[in-house]
Amino acid sequence: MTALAAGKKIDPLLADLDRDGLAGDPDWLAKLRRRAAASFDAHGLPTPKQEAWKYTDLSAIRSRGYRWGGIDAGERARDGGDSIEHTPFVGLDPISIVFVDGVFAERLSDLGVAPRGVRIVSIADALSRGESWVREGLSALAHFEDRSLVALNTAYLRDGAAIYLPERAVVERPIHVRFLSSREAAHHPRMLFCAMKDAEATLIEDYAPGADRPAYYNNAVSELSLGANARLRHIRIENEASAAHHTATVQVLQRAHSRYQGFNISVGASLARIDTNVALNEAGSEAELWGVYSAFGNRHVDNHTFVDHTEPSCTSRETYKGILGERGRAVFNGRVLVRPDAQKTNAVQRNQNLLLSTDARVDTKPELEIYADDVKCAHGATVGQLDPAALFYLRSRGLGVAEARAVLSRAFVSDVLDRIGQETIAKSLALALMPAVEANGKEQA
Amino acid sequence: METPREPVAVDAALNEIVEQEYRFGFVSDIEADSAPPGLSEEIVRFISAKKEEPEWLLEWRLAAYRRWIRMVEPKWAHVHYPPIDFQEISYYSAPKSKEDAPKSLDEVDPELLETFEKLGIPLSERAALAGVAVDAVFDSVSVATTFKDKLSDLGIVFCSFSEAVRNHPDLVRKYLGTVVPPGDNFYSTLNSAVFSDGSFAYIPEGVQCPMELSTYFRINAAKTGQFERTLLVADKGARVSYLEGCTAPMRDENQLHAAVVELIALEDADIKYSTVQNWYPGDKEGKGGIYNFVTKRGACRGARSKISWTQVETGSAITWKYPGCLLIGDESVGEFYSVAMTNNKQQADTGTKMIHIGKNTRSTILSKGISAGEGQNAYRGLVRIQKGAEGARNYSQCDSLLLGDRCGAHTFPYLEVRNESSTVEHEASTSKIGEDQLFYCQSRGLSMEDAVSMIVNGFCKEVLRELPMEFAVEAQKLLGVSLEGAVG
Repeated sequence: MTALAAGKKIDPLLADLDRDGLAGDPDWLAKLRRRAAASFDAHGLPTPKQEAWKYTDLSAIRSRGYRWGGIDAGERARDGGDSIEHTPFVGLDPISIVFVDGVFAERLSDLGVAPRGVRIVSIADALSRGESWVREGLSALAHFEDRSLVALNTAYLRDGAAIYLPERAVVERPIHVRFLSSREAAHHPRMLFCAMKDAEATLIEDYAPGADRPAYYNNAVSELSLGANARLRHIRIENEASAAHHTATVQVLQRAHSRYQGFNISVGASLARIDTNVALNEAGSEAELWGVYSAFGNRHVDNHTFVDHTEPSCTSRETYKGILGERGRAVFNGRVLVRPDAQKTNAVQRNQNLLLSTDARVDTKPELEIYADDVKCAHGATVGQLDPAALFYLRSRGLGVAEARAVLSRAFVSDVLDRIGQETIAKSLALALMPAVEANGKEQA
Repeated sequence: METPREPVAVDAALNEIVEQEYRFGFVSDIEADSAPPGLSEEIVRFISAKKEEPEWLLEWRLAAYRRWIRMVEPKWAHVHYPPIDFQEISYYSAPKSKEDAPKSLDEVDPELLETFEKLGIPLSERAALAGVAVDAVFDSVSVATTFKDKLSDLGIVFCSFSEAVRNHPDLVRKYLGTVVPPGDNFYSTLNSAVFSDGSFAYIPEGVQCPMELSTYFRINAAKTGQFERTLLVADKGARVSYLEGCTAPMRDENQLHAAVVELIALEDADIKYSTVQNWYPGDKEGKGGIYNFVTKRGACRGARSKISWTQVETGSAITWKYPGCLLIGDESVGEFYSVAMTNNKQQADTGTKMIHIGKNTRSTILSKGISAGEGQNAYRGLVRIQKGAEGARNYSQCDSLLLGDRCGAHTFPYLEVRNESSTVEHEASTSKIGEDQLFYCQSRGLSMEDAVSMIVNGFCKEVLRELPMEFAVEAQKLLGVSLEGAVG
């Protein structure tokens, strides 16, 4: 065994590390991956016994026995002989970088002409060219020591998207990073985004299945760092196949006066767990976190957010909204930490849930942990139903029950979707969201 | 806008108050009849024998003890303290005079009475003037119960726990451990094994208790844990308001207090349980003070029953308690009103659990946390709407006020909803006293001190007004003493 010291127990999820070994990796990466593998092997997948996983059980991922997708899938994609098609958002003209089963698919990507100094490449390419910013950036934010899913991703770190914006670079076209999954396997997509001082971009990170919508497991890690005054609009869309499993860690680091606007949409996988961690590490930085999730059928969706105010005069605003029907289940855990020196912090957090059926279930836990006194912090959480008066009004205007419910449900999340700023994306998301709501409405009627 | 301030003068005035010593720090020198430190089956048997308990209760205690030794101390709370050596604690301490139990107030050990006097609870006076029946718990054994006759005319049983075991074994046996089962959690299990005494009250069907029932707890002898057990049963249509006040003298070692309170409300019954807790919080360096690890839970068993918890927590080095309500009966109501104040190195992790089981059950949570000095104050609450709890409604509000730049305020609410027809709302905010508010008050001629005191009182008012009159006054004074010193 190359990945781990001989004689240790090997977690089945790591079993495939042998298949490619760590051959071809630069020394530092081989070391990093080995440490990550050892760390995951020691801790294994999180279990509901851990407080952060109290409501989410990953044992389905284990029992499914996913094997690592490996390189051959990527080779198929590179060959271009694959049936995979990439259908971009209509009307959006992005710089796109597409990955199939975790490996860069040049045939499907459109890297276009990026502004001077901007790098939009696959991690594998960047590594082969020895680009130092990739080496410095990888694993710099997403530490794996106490997070076994990050460790698992890092152990398999081979490819993914790497984006670098030099000082004052403004990328007008949105950058679209798409991870497609074409077959039943485990993938560990990775994304690295570094924006230097005064840089600006819109980044769309989305997860979607190939045409035959198989069951698969995506365990993603994204690291985003924003230099002073940098601005990023980050739209993350989890619209996996309905049989798929999705776990993700998004790690954001903000320098002085930077502005991060994150949109986190999760509507697809049968089980999705997304950890979004934002560190406001220098004074004056500002973070907005917006989320929309839905859970119908037997879907389970879990959003954990952690906003870490370490320095003074930072602002964070967070709104997550969820629509739940049938036997859908949602978990929200929002933690805001204001450290002793983070005076003049302004933090607001909201979580609102709409329950459309008797079997739906929601567990929400907004947490505030505050160690500074000159702060303004508030949070709120609600769980409720559609307003019967509003439903009655719409019906009196001739709408059917299902339609009326769909209209109101859509209105419930529209304030978040409307803020995405990319009309074409907002529309397609609303489309992705609505069929389930409407079907649920019919069932109720 | 920069507010004009006079930091020097203010600081001087503040320091004076900050340096106020704990007013109730004295030790009554009464010969105690204690068990040697340590916990074993023998000690459990010793306690049970001392109290001349029936066999079933001894068995109950032993079963709890056997469970406890296999349990692990919980670590999830947002508090930090050195590990407790449970073999260092003496589990039984009773004033010697217990042998010839007092028949009336006159027979009570005068020094005991004096102790209460120093605490500002003149037993006789209070009994006469305020019409309060006080079941005073001095360390572990109840020494005097007043107004008993008046209550017994109405069929109300209000006595010490051990008395209830002797005189009303059926009632005790029927309800003991039905709300907080022996194996519920680490500290309640410990309590079940070694509980010394406490209060018992039973309000028969349709009776409205004519006066506030009240108990004063006081931890006195050094190195003794206090493990009281309170059981309160309100039969159909009964109504009762129960007050609990706590103080402890100054001790250098941390003392453990692990009480269990069980409330049972049958159909249409109404229980109001108010606590003012002012145990010794430790000194400015965090030395000494009480560890207050309490399990309090009420069950609204019958339809339309109501249980209301009100607590003002200003004392203890560590407070760790979550008075909860099991809303089993349809249309039952649970309420939780709390003011928790931490100063210096005090830590509080407190909140409530509202479990909605019956249809159309309602609960309200109102929690006000005040942190000063290096105090850490956490609200931790659970609202669970079970599947069958149709039309359940919850509203929670948790506000924190920060006074000082080294304190902390934390909120950990758990909302678990399994029913679509229910509505759950939670709101929380954290801030310090606004400079503009202070400026306004000062511009109207209030001193800095008075302004802060007024704003803080306003902050807590929604909770304080839930307290019975006498308690509200005391609570306000307590807050004043603990708080004003902390403003900087």
